[in-house]
Amino acid sequence: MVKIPPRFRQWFDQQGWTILPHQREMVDRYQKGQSTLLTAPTGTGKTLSGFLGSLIEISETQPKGLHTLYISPLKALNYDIERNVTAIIDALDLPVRVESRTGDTSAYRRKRQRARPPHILMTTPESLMLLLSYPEAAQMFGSIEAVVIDEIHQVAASKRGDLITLALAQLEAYRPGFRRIGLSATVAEPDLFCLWLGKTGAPVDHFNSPSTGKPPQVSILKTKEPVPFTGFVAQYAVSEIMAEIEKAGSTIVFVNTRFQAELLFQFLWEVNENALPIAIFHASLTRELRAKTMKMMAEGRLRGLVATSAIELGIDWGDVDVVIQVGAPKGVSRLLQRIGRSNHQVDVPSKAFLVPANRFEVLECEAAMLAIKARQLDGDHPLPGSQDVAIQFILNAACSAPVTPHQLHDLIIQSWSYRSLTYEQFEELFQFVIDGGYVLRNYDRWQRLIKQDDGDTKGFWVPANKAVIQRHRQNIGVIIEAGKLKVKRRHGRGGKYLGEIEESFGQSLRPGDTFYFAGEVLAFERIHDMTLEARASAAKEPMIPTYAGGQMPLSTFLAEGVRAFLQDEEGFEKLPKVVRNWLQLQSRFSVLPDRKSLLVESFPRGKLYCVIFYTFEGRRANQTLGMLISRRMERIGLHPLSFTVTDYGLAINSLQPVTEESVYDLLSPDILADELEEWLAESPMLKRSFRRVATIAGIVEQNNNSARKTLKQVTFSTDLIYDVLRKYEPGHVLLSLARSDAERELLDLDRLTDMIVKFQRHIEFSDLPRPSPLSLPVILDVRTERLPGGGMEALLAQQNLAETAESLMHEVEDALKS
Amino acid sequence: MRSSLEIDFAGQRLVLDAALGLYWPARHMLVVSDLHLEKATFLAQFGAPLAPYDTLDTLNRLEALVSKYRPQSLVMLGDSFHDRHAWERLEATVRQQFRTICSAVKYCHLVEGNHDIGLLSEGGLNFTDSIELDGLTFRHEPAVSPEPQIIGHFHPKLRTSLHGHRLTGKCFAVNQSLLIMPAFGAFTGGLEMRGPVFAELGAGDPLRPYIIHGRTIAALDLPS
Repeated sequence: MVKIPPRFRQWFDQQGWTILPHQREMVDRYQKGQSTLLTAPTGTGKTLSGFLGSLIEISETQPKGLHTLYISPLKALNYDIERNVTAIIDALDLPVRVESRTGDTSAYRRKRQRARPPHILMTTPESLMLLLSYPEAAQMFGSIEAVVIDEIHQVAASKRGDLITLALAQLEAYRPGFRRIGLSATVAEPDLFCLWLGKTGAPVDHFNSPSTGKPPQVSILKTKEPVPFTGFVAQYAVSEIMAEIEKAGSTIVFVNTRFQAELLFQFLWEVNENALPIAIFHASLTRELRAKTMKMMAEGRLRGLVATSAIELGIDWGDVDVVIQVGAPKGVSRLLQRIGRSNHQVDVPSKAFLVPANRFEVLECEAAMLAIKARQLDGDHPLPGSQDVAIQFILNAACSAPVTPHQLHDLIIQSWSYRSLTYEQFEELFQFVIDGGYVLRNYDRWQRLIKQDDGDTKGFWVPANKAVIQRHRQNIGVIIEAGKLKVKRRHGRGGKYLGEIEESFGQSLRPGDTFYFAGEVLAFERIHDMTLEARASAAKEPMIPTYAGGQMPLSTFLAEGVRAFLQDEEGFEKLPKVVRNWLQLQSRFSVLPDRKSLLVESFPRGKLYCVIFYTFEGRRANQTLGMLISRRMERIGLHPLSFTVTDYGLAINSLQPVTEESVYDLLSPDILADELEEWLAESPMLKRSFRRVATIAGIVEQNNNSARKTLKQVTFSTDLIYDVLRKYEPGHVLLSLARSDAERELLDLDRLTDMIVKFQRHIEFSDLPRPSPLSLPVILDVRTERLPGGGMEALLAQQNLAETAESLMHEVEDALKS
Repeated sequence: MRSSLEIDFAGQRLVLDAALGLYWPARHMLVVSDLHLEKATFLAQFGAPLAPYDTLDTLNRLEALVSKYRPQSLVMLGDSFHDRHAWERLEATVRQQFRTICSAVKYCHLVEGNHDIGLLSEGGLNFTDSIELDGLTFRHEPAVSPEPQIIGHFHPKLRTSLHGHRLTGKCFAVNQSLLIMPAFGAFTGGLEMRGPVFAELGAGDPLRPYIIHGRTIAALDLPS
């Protein structure tokens, strides 16, 4: 029988709420000491159900130490939840102390939290790992009764998920049998997440709170102007988006990247004739700006908000009437969560519009709507734990208390993600932590860990000195970001910080260049002390277009949906006219892709040639394929220069054309053997993986500003380390970790193998005089992968002879006009 | 595709090699700069377990350059060692390799740089402040002087694009009176040529980049 004290029930009554069945269920399970994964749709009081059991128990038993740990992937979420939980505690006058602990927490408060922990601590994976690195960790966490992990569906399939699962294994050693409570949106395969959350061999129970509401109403926004061939921002639809904002009380406009957010925000203000309050929200803005926007939205003072996934997680954004998704949805589950933001009333369906930014995205939107109708879901699955994160964890554990490899290995394999890590594999990681694990040169003078010779901890390993501990603590974390510059808008002699921007973008600017940031046009002045200084500009259009920023991969499921859609010419009838025309034109000029064969098109582009493979296998698989095929092209003398990938296809530019004869050579299955090995070794992709792995493993500093100032000399490129290591110790553990990181994060090898085997004899080759209609969205994508090797050097050599070719963009634009 | 380029600098014909060296045929002189030997072990002291093979790689490449040009003199233009204790940290075999390279040429000059000033070694290494020859001055950092200078210290590199393709590489930076060498060491980073430092160095007479990518070197116009 569930025991919910009367005053808690009264509180629900006062709010005009009823205790929902899954909230009651979670309290019941808490009181029985059970671990549970709760899956429930957005906006159903999920987080509160994770806390209720703890709140009741704490107020009844008055425990001394830390009782409940709450882990969420977002700082902002922590603050939001802290506010909500504090509201109940204050209303009921409960004797419960709640505090949050993030990267922003002051040094004084952090110290106090270690000495006198609150009952409930809200934290992020990184901050938790930092807490676990202190000698007090065993004492501090020895009393926990429950760990609540929020947004599991977002975090489990990532290296941050690995951090959490390793932290859970450590906590299990300090306090065996604490409750593990996972909160998640509805996922396609909850059983995998139950395994992930539990100890190895002891998956937690699953409880699903079914969706009771009506299915959402989703449609493509009707516009006067046709959907363009290419683009990310859907400028063509701005006045229609504005019209929807005007009609509704409150609207969230979702985009996929920060730069889309900046651009769309500008476009909206240009047509915002009634000066409605519309704001922008993304993760690069300063905390103050973000907090202000959140507050205004929650209080209902905003009519529109242009936002990235930074607001996707469980934060309460007040009453939202309409959600507009601009750009491709990329995944069905993700789209449903975004749509779930609108209208929290159970009996009224959520209302959402999709605004595809280009013509391929129209197909993707259609496929997503079909899936929503059929109530199908997709989403990421937890993967085997990353070993670079294990390296970080080993050093973390040693900073807290003396360790032995055997004891630590036993602990790590208690995490389901690391259950298959053998002792031999682990030993190699441990050796890396000790001295880098270099076999050709004795490195014992610079060990990070040293073995104790005597005393109680004889035979245990401890950090060699304080500098090692300090450096490790400054570098905890697994999100390896590009270098960031603070953005300061100068005004007279003073100025205001607006947020952060990628260093590489800052470096590409010249004084006077204008660009969008924080919803303003800024004119670049200079970079000084890791700060980009700019002034407000009167210019309406910035000169520098900005395309960078995060990209989301298309889910396998949705890619398949698009492919199926293309098969079915009858389905074209419901497409907008321009899209239908585009596909029909393609069918006349070249051919439409079908399921039986792989369409490959080849055509000249200025002085270069372009070949396109319409694989529909998603971005990652196309990236790998691009790598392999361009290698083979190099071998047979076609001189590839660069390639572009989208979710739908792969385009390769080369000096010589691909022909009907050579195309079979390019797609021969043996590229998966020869080319894969050769190419991987020198590809920029593997270098990127190496950079991530080397940073997480602690070879180089994470790009935080303080470290930059003090240890400037470490900021040289990890590419240099990679090259030297590969030359002199190709068997080194970091190289194999980089390889598996690339396979895990980037390659999608299985998908690719299936495709090549299936289509090797079924290629539809189309030799064309100019780019086909279908190719335009692919080749106009500005994000290209540069290829090392002869092609680039040949091009550089041409540069020496004469200033020649016009820019590729112009050629394509001309082709479009004619 | 060129692995080296000849230029005229202050009336002298000089060869810029994509292998990061400068060869002066008239004087049979090979110049390299900023080797930063033992940088990895220097950083390792602070808890960064970098691959300790940078010195080996740097010297192997230097050896190859010496066998290619067979110069009479070899000039290391400063910061040959990453710090004053670097010599002590050299492995015995690598130390021997260094000596072999030096003795393969008639004259081996070590110009002093800011990193290796006061290097602790057991002798046999002679450092000099600068070298003057046929109107050219070789030193680590530039001096205020109207004379043409060949220097190191700044590690010029360039990030640019060609036909829409991104390209990054170490550079020789050259104008009428100044030639700045690229950094030779395996673990040396670079300083972007479009930054304020090079603008100041090339005030009134902009420095032109000769960019190195793979085994190719090419003159580029600095995107203004």
